[in-house]
Amino acid sequence: MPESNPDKITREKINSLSKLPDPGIFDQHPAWEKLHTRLREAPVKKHRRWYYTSAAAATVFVVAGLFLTNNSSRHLSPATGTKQEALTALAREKQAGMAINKLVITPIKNIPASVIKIAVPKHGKQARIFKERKANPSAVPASETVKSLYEIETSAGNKQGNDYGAASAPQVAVPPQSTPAVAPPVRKLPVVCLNEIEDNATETPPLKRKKERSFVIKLFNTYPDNDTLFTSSSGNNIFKINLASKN
Amino acid sequence: MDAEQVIQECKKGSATAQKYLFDQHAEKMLLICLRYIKNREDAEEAMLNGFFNFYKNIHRFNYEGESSLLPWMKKIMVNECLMFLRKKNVFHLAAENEVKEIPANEEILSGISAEDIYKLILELPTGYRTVFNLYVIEGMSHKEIAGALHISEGTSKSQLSKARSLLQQMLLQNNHYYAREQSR
Repeated sequence: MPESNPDKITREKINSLSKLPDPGIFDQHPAWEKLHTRLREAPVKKHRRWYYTSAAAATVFVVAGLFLTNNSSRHLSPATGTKQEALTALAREKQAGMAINKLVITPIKNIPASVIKIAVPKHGKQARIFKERKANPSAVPASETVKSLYEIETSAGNKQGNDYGAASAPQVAVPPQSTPAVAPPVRKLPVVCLNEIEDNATETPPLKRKKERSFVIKLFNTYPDNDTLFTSSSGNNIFKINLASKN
Repeated sequence: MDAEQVIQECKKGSATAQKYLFDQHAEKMLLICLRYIKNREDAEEAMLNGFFNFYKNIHRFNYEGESSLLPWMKKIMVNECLMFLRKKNVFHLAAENEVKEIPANEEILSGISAEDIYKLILELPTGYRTVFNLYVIEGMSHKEIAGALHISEGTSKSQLSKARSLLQQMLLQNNHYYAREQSR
């Protein structure tokens, strides 16, 4: 907005004023005393503020230091806590990573049989199938799983091997010193019978109910005492009834 | 004592130099504060706060002659006054319709003394007076005023328009008064 001339006149007039319209009202001395008191108190506040600032900064540094120290120690020694062991663990991890990077997928025929250790069945059905397959590898049925073909081939010690084409299982050439070629067979847990856990309870044979029941009514010529023993032979039988059991 | 030397002594914390500077400029700074804050005690308090901040931050000030000292001091005083007004919450400024300004007669303005113009400005309401002071006397733009007072530019413009209109009316009334006085 362009400055108008009246504004300029007003500004010049106001800026030219150096004294109050009513002279003598403003007493500078008490005002200065008031200001001087405040100025004298000011450095003390500044000093305190400096203390607070330095204390806050020190606290922040200590907390940051503790945080960084904890983080670095946790990274170096995950389990043992010593730096040397942590470095060894890191080197081991690095070596393992390099071994994984070296893995190459190769066909079956290139795998030496000595690398892969699988137990050859000696008894039973598996042993019979193994012998048959070894004698005539081409007779393997199409429905045979890739895994079983692979097992038979490798366990036969056939260094030359047979190329099964698409059905052959691709294998990974693993350095023998680093990892085992094949996972160990699953251990079969023994079956524990109830009697083997030292249960002392004796087995009682099941009770066999009689199919016939008989009732005998006897006649005695003497009055029975407490000491009188009733047996099947004592007294005279009046009559005997045989009842067939419902069961 | 040289002004530059006084500033250097003030930077060292010399009470004598501080008092010297205060005596030199206190009345002029009070005039500025009174233009914004009508109440005398409040204006004096704002002036003292301004001087206090001036001495506290004088290490930042680079002396480049007398002309560099006064604007810096004035700016501190104006800021103190605006802060005081904001604290008192005296700004209830709303955008009003701009009134048609009566063109100010330069002859009338030239004929009135600086003291009378000063008194007329003090007669304005707080909002009008603040915007008028900032725009006309301090030379701030409407954008700067809007930022300083936390109002919109439109509000600043309308407040200035109203202030000018009111001042011109007062000037005309005073002119008649002066004319009557002169005719007697």
